[in-house]
Amino acid sequence: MDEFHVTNALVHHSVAEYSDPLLGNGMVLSETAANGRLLPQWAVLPPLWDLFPSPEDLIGRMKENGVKTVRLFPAQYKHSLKRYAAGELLDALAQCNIPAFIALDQLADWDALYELCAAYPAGRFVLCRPGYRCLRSLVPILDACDNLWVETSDLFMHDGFKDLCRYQGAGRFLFGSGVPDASLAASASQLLLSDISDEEKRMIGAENIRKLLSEVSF
Amino acid sequence: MIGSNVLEGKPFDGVFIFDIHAHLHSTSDFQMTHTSAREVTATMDRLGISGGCVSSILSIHADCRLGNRMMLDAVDRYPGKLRGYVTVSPYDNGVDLDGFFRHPGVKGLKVHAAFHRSSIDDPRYEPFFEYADKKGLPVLFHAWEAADTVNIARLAARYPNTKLIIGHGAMRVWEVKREVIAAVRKYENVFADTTVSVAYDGAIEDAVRQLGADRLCYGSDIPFYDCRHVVGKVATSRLTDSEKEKVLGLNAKRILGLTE
Repeated sequence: MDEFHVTNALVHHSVAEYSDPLLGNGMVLSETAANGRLLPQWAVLPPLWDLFPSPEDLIGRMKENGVKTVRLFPAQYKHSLKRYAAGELLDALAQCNIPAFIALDQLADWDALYELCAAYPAGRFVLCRPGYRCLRSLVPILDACDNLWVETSDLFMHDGFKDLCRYQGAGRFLFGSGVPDASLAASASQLLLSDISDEEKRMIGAENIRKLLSEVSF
Repeated sequence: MIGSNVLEGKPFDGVFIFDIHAHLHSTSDFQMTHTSAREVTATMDRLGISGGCVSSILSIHADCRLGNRMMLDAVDRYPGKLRGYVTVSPYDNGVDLDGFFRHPGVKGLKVHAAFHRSSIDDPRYEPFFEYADKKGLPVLFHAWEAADTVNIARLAARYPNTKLIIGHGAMRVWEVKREVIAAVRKYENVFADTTVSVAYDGAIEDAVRQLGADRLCYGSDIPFYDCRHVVGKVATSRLTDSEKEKVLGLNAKRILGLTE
């Protein structure tokens, strides 16, 4: 981060992604406590008995710990995002403007992303790792759903940022790296070397996510 | 220091950068962007990349002969910038290789067995490898699976005068990398390129440590995807400037015999 002048990063814990959200969410808090540049992100599941907290309890804990974003892993944890299963959780997140990040590989297909955004129009969703083969699917969903933002860690179409800013505007894209699974040098180079204005780089690099975080209201 | 320009978004200057694995044109698989020779060379110019060796995606997909003609046309239109690979197909043994290689801009063969629904050990490729061996030509392989590299290693032993480039080989999952390391260490005529859309942090440094700086070449796969993230990753890596110079261009210059 220092090498590329990255000031802050949203981080979730691999234990929360691959093993146990509650354990991992606790670990990300303790591991970021001494470093204010790393902003903890929690993995969340729909409530289940006393195994995963109710949305009210979850959001209370988030407020208490300064956690302003969550990450969904429906494929990893094998749960539905449909209203009958996840409605209570996603409605509660939406009520607080809490952005919910979700990687493309956690969704069955692009239609599932559209259905998610359409089913929860007040929700704020951030698609992560859309890949460079995404245009024919991503653009219609961006056009149809104004509650979707896109993280850029592998958004590597040739001259992609130039096209995206020209046709979609810079306001829906959030710089991401995927580090250490992916290279921060790669994603930073892609943005820095792109033929877009400095203002567009600032928006994608920081201002868009700052705005989303500033609008979270517990 | 090489790479210091990246933070400022400025082009590279004073370092020879040559893309050993580039393409032109489109595939049906997904929406590609800016795929013409004019657009690909414009990106190279914008970034300070000296040039690249290209094959047409048409030649590995829809029409091998048409794609090769379009490659040659692009090399003609951008002399000194674009060089070309002749794509060889297991279904077409009538390609006029002598005709192609009379052109000074045509530098090697391209094998994309996966898109040709074949495999690198398909015996119908053998006449092409014999030709490359006789002429001392480089052959760039699409090598996604570990088995591809195993096959390339076998070819390295049989055709010692060829220079075999393992496309996508340098920085992927361990089962692939293990075979790439074994092949490069065992055979002096085997090289790998940096072409991959996403690799773990530090993969470039690992590749140079495992393969040696003389055996890794900058390749981007442009315009399948952009070259910015790949060239930036190499240029800003923790390699020495001397190692970066080799990977970014000097190795390609030697392997492809670039003189002009």
